[in-house]
Amino acid sequence: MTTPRRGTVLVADDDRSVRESVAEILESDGYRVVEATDGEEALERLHSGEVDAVLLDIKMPRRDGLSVLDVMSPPPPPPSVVLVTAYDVEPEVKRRLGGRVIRILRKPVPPMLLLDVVDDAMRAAGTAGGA
Amino acid sequence: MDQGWWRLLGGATAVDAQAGPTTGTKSTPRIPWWGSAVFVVVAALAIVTWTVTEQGVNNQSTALLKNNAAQIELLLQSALNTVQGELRSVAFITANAGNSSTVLAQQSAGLRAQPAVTVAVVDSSGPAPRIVAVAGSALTVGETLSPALAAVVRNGATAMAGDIVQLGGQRMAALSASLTVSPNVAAIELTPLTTKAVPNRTGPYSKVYVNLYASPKPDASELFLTTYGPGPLPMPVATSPLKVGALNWLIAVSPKDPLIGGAAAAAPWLILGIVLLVALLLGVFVELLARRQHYARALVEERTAELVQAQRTLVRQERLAAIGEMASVVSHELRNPLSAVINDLFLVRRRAEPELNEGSERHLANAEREVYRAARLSEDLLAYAREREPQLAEVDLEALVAEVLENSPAPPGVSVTVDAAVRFQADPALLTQVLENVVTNAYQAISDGGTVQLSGRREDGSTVIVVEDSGAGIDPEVGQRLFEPFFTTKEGGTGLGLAIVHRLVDAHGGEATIDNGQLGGARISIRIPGQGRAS
Repeated sequence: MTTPRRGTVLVADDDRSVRESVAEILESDGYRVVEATDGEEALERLHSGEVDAVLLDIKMPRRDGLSVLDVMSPPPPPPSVVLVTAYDVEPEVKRRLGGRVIRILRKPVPPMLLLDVVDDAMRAAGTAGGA
Repeated sequence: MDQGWWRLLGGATAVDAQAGPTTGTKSTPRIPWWGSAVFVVVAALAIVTWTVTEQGVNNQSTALLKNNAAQIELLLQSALNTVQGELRSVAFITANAGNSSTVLAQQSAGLRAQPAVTVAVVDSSGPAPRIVAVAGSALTVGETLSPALAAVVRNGATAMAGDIVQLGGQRMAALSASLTVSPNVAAIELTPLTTKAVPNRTGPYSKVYVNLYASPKPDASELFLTTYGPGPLPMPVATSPLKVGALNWLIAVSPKDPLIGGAAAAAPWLILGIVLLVALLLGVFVELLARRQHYARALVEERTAELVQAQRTLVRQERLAAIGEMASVVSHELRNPLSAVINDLFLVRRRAEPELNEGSERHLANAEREVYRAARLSEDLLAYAREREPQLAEVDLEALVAEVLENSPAPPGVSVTVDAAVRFQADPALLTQVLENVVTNAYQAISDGGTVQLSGRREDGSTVIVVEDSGAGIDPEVGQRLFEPFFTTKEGGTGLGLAIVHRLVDAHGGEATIDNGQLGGARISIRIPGQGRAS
């Protein structure tokens, strides 16, 4: 890795191809990436700390993304959360999420947009990138 | 016309017969002919019954008439015997009184109740029978008898005899009887005949007409006595032979009125009338039943057809819903693989970029374009298949259009004019999608540059949004088909853009139409009903 560390991103997605390709894009842009294959694993990663931003899929085994949002209590400072989902998010769910999510993205997300959003998330979490 | 009353009776109307069940495909069954059949059968029975009864009454009538004729024969026989006795008595007394015409006149007063009747005493002892005493004007004393009259006297030598004779241009009924002790002495009675009826208004046989013929056959020239008058007796006629000495006479009898009584004679007709009436009532009753049944059957068929139709619609809707659900699932499930492909293409490009040659660059760009197109198709399918209940809120069209144009900016060379100062009730999210699709459609029509006009106004309680471009326009033959899913005239389109517009406008209870406008290109008009105002 020649690029400097720009913060840690948790990529929680049960689809291995998606999860790994997203991770690789983020790593190639200088981020540290931790992966979770389901909701429970995502909670564990969050509770271990050091996560600045989360790309959270909604539909996952064991525990879905929305449930993860409801029960997580990571050590401060709280990470910025970006929901990335193949499904529509109902307006009432959006209202319920309130300010806990900085952006909701619909799959497939163009990689350049993904990088922009992660950059924004890092800023929101106070971990401004090296750029 | 109100045909309710007829329907209450179970009648099928002409309208029913023409229209048939309103939704069914079966033809209306023909109204059965049972009513007419029942009428015909019972009417035939009535006629048979009438025939049999009439026959019976006629037989009875004929028997009675024959009985009458026989009794009249007995009566006449007895009367003739009386006349015979009287004639013998007159002859005997007159002969004993020396053939005195005066005595004869006295003795024959009973026989000559009518003055035209002549009674004479004949002596046949000589070569020719001659008159020896007379009372009346038809004969004179000393006169020799005419051969016809002589024949009557001769026939009456042993028993009573009688015949019709011509005498001085007058038809006379001649009766003769000779004395048993002295056969040469006879008395004759001559009564002028007329065809005038002798009335028989009283007495036991006043109910019949009687003709007495001085011959064995009913010969009009031999009519001896009639209570009817000239001409043959009216039918039915019964006859009975009458013995007058050695001669055979004939009695003919005909009833004045039915002998067995008016009621009995009317019975067959009464039965015929009643049974025909019953036939008619039965026919009408059966006809009504048949019509009721026919009506009920038509109704059942109509309802069944409606049910079948409803069931088909339901099945179709379920199928469409299932297809929609499947499209939705497939679209969602495609999103992860598409994501992975897009990400991998990005990584390939990033790694290879420094030394990417022209050919590889072209292939990579092509792959990226197509994978995004697949993503768009999946998005459109989802948008089309999604079940929607519009969440109405007040929409500021001007603001909404500004947002849409920000998300979908006009391509280079395209100018957009907006006149949309109107607020109305609609689902903002759905309307945004509608406008995005319509505006994108317009952009695609003028990819080489041009104008897009977007306007909104209130009209007849609806909001009308018109999006018009300066492109090539549409083929009028194609028209509304452009709103059908997967119908496209563009290369690379998903064929769902305008179909989604149609569905979303439809979900609002509105309508979308397409034609060619003033700018020369296509014009899409969207009408959304409901409250609103100019802003």
